[in-house]
Amino acid sequence: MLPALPFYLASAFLIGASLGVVGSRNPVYAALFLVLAFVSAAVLWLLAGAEFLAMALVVVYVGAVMVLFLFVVMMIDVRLAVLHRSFVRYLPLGVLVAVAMMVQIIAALRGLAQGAGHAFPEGGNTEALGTLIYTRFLYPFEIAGLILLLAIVAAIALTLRRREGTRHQDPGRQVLVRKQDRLRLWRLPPHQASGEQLPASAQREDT
Amino acid sequence: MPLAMSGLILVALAACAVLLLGLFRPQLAYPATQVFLAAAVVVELMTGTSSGHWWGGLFVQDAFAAFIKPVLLVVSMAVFLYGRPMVSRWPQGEYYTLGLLAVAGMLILTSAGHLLTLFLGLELMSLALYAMVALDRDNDMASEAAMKYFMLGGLSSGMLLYGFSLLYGITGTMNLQAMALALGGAGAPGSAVVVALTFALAGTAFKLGVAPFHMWLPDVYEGSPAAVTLFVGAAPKVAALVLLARLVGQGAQANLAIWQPALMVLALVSMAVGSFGALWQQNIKRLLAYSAIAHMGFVLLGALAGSEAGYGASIFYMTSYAVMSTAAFGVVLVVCQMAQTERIADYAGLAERSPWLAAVMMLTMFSLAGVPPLLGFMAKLEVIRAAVGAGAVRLAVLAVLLSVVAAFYYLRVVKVMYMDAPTVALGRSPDVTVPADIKLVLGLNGAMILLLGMMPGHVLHWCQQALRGFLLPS
Amino acid sequence: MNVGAGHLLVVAAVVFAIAVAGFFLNRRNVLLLLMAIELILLAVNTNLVAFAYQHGDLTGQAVVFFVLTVAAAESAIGLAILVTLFRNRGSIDVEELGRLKG
Repeated sequence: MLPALPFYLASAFLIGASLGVVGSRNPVYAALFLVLAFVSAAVLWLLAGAEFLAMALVVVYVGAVMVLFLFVVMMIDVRLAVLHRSFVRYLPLGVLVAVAMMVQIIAALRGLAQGAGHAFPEGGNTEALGTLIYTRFLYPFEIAGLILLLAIVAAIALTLRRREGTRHQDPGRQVLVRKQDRLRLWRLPPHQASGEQLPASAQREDT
Repeated sequence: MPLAMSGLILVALAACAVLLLGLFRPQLAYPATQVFLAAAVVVELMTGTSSGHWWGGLFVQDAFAAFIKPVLLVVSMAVFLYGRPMVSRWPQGEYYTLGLLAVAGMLILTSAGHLLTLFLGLELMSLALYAMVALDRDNDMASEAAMKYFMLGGLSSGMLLYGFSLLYGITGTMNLQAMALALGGAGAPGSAVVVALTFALAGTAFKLGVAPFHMWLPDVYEGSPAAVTLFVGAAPKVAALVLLARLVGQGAQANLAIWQPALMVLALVSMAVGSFGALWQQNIKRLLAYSAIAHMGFVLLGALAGSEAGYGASIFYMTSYAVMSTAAFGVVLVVCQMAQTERIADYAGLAERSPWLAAVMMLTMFSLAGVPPLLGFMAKLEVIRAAVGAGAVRLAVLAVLLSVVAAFYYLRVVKVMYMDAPTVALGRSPDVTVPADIKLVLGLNGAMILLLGMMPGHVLHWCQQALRGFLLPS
Repeated sequence: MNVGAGHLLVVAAVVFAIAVAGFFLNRRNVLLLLMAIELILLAVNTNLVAFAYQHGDLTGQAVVFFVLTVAAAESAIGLAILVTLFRNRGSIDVEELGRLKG
């Protein structure tokens, strides 16, 4: 049994925020509504006993993925789009279809999950989940590693551009430098009494 | 750890090795990829027979997987070979790493007896494909194609996953065998099962590129660089069929009454859209895209029977399609290098310019159209036989009629190649030497279409054998 | 009125329907489509959490863990493709994705 008041409050926020994501004109607002949706969902998950996942959702999603979204939103020239005519024209139809789909799903799901849920066994959710993931689900865990490797390679390959003509330090080359590269010894002619300048060829040449 | 996993591990290691090689010796990335894939084929053939279930069905090795995995690997090798000249300007390490990870995803998917690994394998493959389409970064069309592919692919994954979550809720398990038993039992609520299977099927149909979920396919085929189109159009199609077979065939085998009508509609719409849509196409890649849609409809003809023989016919059809599509895109790639063109009209005079290329293309086109002694004909025959066996006689008749329509546009390509005078593109293009290995494999590929068509017995037997014990005894 | 897993399913279904409708109605920019996909995955995860609670089975929660991982990888790749598209086009308007005739 879930506590009623927090449930309804979080659900209202989640649904409201989802509408906000879909309906916002400004992508920055949409991204912020998405953050609100994630946080509300985290509350719901917490109520249903998924403590670790709720925390992971906030830390990983709100903390990292949404920041990435906002970063891209800011990077790209966002035009405050005027609502296109097609959006307004298809809006009633879209709402109708969405409501029909929702009603169908909900009607079909009635009777699927009735009564109180099962309480999870005592002893932290994090520990139980960790044990499961590192034992029975070790193989999917490895696959998840491959997927993350793929994401890294793909994201870098698609976006990294080496610019020509930028100046920067290369510590590796700095460390590898040898004495011969920097220092040249010159045998100077003996000092002359007349106090002339040193010949031009005897100037120290270093780089 | 199961021995049968060795091939998969080898491919995953190859991805890491090639990534490093690409950093230090980019020119070795391609040969290393081929060596690793060839080694994986050998390993699969040696270890594939050690069947069993591991970790609650997360990894499954059966006759089906033992047949599909070498096919996937060999097709991928041919695809990398044909694509090599075109991708030589791209970052080598990254391209082949992404390709190998996609192959690893397909292998995971093929050996999945659990919704979780089914999903993870599919995503590993799809994510790699999205990135590969966009890898030619300054290509405007390719980025647009990648964006469309990504958006609709992401949506379809979401739908598929929503279906998966409902299936988990209904049955309380994600293991496909246990799920089949639970769904067949009396306790399963009917309407919820219908909704769950609807979403799961919609997602699968997206991945397979079946009408009416085909919107992404022509654009992605046209916009992607030809080497990637070839990749997208060959092995991943086989993998998508595996998804259908595992999910619907194994997981929901007791619910034939729910999904059989849906598959019939999908098959019919797909064959119709593919056959009529291709009639007016001017771009060869777009034509092949519509041809792919039509062929996926034929694949469903076999699958809708829901029997082991039906899936055997489907797998045979899909394997044949992979062979034919690889050959067709192989020729398209060579012409792309030769004349920088993808317009069908520019194929005029190909027969004079390069008789062997035109011959391979003609063979492939006839085979795709289903002209008798060739591979495509045998494949069509098998799926239509399966459909008739399942009682879908009217659908089978419609399939035959639609394949006659489709024959028109395949023959148009042949007519342009052999009858029309060369246009500027092909007539004045500089001589490009086609690497000898590509020539050799393209020739072999064409020969396979001819020889397997005349003697399909062995392959057909393997396909039927691979499906033995695929379904639970009812 | 007792609140159980069934109520969570209804909330998830509502979010799912909103997200799918938003995906198809959106004619403005691609970023919002990406966000709609994120919402769909959120609905799926909520479903899984609800069922895990219903069955008292941690498998559902473990799967959420993997779906979250995949979703993060997916959005990274999606945003990377978006950035390449923006560099080539200077726009991410959905209606301008019409060079390939759909």
